[in-house]
Amino acid sequence: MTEHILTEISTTVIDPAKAISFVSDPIQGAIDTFIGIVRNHHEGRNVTGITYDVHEGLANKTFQDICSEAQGIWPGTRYFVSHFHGVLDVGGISIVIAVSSPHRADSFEACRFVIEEIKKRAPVWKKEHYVEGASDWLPGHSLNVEAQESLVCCGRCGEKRHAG
Amino acid sequence: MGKTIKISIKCFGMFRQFGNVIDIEIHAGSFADEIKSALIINIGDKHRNLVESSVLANDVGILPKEYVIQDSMNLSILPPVCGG
Repeated sequence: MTEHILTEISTTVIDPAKAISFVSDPIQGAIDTFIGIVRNHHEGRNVTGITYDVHEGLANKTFQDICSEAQGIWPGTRYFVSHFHGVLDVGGISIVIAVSSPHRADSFEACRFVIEEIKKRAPVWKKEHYVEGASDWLPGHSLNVEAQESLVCCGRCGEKRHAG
Repeated sequence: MGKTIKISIKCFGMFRQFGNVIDIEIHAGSFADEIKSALIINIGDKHRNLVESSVLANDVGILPKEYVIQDSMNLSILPPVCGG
């Protein structure tokens, strides 16, 4: 765990109070939270629930990377991110993000940054389940761009990318 | 031509329709992109767009296209993501 950053993949109900508790501190005057909820409709179809598939190791690493990047942009901010892995009914909590900062503007902006980056970069997938019994994996954002900036090297010289 | 090696590819998202793991054989020294070509042959050309919009990863991160596969290993195939 990086200082003031806690990220996790959860297979149990995510408690927003845990997120707020982690980022709370007397020096922080603002906490912004984002809570993702399974809704009962999508593009005209009635949804009963969503299965969340997650590459746990890489997803957690991506959450850490995103929060570290945000901390570089908004110094003094603290982060909690928990993403659900498994099946949720309508109303279930899929993700909780909490960001604290001394003043409110940084918390708002950083929290928005974190959820938008997670949607683009974290290896997480959704399979929607519909009232009529069908299920579909949802389309998403290709990671091909991230592949061009990968930290993995060429495969000839070890696990980390070479300098330069 | 290098020796034949086995690559076990863990499936996520849309790739779950093909099972939890797909095993393919390639020649040692192949590039990551050649694994994707072998995967298309394995699951069928109608899934080419899905494979081409996906990336291969090990436990460290996403593999660049020019990553060279030297030995048998476990990888993951990551289709386009939609978390949150």
